Amino acid sequence: MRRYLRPATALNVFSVLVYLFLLAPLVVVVLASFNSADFLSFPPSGFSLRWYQSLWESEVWGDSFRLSLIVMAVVTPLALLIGTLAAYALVRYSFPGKGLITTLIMAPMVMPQIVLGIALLTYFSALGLLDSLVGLVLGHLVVTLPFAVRLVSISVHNLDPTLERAAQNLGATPLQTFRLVTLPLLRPGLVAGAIFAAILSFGELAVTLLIAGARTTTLPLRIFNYTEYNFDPTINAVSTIFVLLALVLIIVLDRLIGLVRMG
Amino acid sequence: MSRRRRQRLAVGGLLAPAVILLVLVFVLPSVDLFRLSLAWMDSQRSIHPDVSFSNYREFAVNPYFHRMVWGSLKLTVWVACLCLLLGYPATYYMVHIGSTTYRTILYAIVVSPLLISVIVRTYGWVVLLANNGVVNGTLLALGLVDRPIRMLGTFGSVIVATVHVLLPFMMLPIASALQGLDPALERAAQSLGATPLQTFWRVTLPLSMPGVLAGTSLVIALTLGIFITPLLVAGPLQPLFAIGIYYVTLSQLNFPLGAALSFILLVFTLAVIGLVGRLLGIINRNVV
Repeated sequence: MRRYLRPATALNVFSVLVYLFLLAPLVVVVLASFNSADFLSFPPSGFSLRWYQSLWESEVWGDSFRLSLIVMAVVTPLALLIGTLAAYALVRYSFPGKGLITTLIMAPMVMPQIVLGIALLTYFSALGLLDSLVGLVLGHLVVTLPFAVRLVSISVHNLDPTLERAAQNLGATPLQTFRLVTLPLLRPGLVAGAIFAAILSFGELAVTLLIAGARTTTLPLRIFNYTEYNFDPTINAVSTIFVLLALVLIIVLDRLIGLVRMG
Repeated sequence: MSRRRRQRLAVGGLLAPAVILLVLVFVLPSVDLFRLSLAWMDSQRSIHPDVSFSNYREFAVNPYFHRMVWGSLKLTVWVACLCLLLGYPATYYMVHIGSTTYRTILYAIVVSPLLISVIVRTYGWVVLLANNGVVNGTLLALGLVDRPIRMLGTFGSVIVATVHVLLPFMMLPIASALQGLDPALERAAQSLGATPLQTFWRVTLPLSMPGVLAGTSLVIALTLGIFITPLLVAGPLQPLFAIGIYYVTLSQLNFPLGAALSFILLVFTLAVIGLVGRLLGIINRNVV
């Protein structure tokens, strides 16, 4: 008697393989970061923390790390503030030109990244903003804003306007209403928006590659340069930090809004 | 002050920072880019700002650019089909799994790439596919090959890495469509005598089409513009539209031509998204 593979079993096996495919390059990088050999080698020759040590001692990697943190620390609150105000207006009010403004705010997300990068490259070179901190911050703001607006919008949608009206009827001033009712209710969306803005800015490369330079080599840009031109196994250690950071943020996001609801 | 007027002021105030930012750092650069695309560069590399269509003409006649367009189209078809073929079953499995813990872990695997820089994900493929990388190391150790197979630099490596980078953008919209599907409909189909396969074909798949549509057009748009991933796994000479723009602008420093190519890619992307949207819309209507 011939036995057939049950369709359900086939689906399970296939799906598990897809998830392994998604994980493979990340797992490989994390494992490689503990490899003692000084070039890309497989199988690994031994366990060692020397790449973490060289990362810790390296001045260039340290500079890039600091720069990326600074850009992120400036971009995140700005994107969140500008994004929250816009999200509130777009969800709460109807006004002429609303569709146009929504399109404008979401447009950088659909624009091919290379096109946005080239546009900013030519624009910034005329303004003298290439290879500058201001240029990086402006570029990252445009890239992160649509995500901030989208994530905060979800929370504004779920916010029942009658709660704010009730607070005002009970004698709260508009400022008190905002601080004691609106803000706490928006918190999950604000934190999710902040996390995404921060992580996008920290990992941004498409626009950065075109507008940054020798004085503004962010962490992703340094990884790119070293992978392209002179290989340095320290990249594995840096990449592992990115993976661990994502792991922590995923747990935070899951606690906060539930991963299952994020799609 | 009337209520209407107060509201209009409030809306203006709330939107002003975003609109000012985007006009200054998005709209004006785009307008500038278009103006630049009409200028032309002579053989002495000086840029003449008078209006001409020489860059657009160059694109129309130069076979190098035709190969780029063809390469990008080919990559888009491969990536969109593979993302759909891999993504749909895997998403279905994730949404229908019984254990909540397991489902959360699978969601984490799908969401995590969005939180990790594209450079790190692509670098992982360089480690996997290099001549002295993990895949070749394993093949050599198992004695399946006696010399490393060249994988980096090939069109295949671009397909694999791009599918990996973009798969979450296919899976998340499908997941939200499948989640929003009322389980009573599937139960109703089965109690009316449909087999599980019929239920899937006639009920689940058609009802999840909005997610498939959203995921597919997102993946197509992102594939047409992707350049960091192919640049790292296959180098700057890979015939792809976005890489060509990068090469013409940053290596040949022909900014007007780079600007014109950028605009062509933008229009092309919007056209393909519109076309696919309409096509899938027709399919959708016929199925439902």
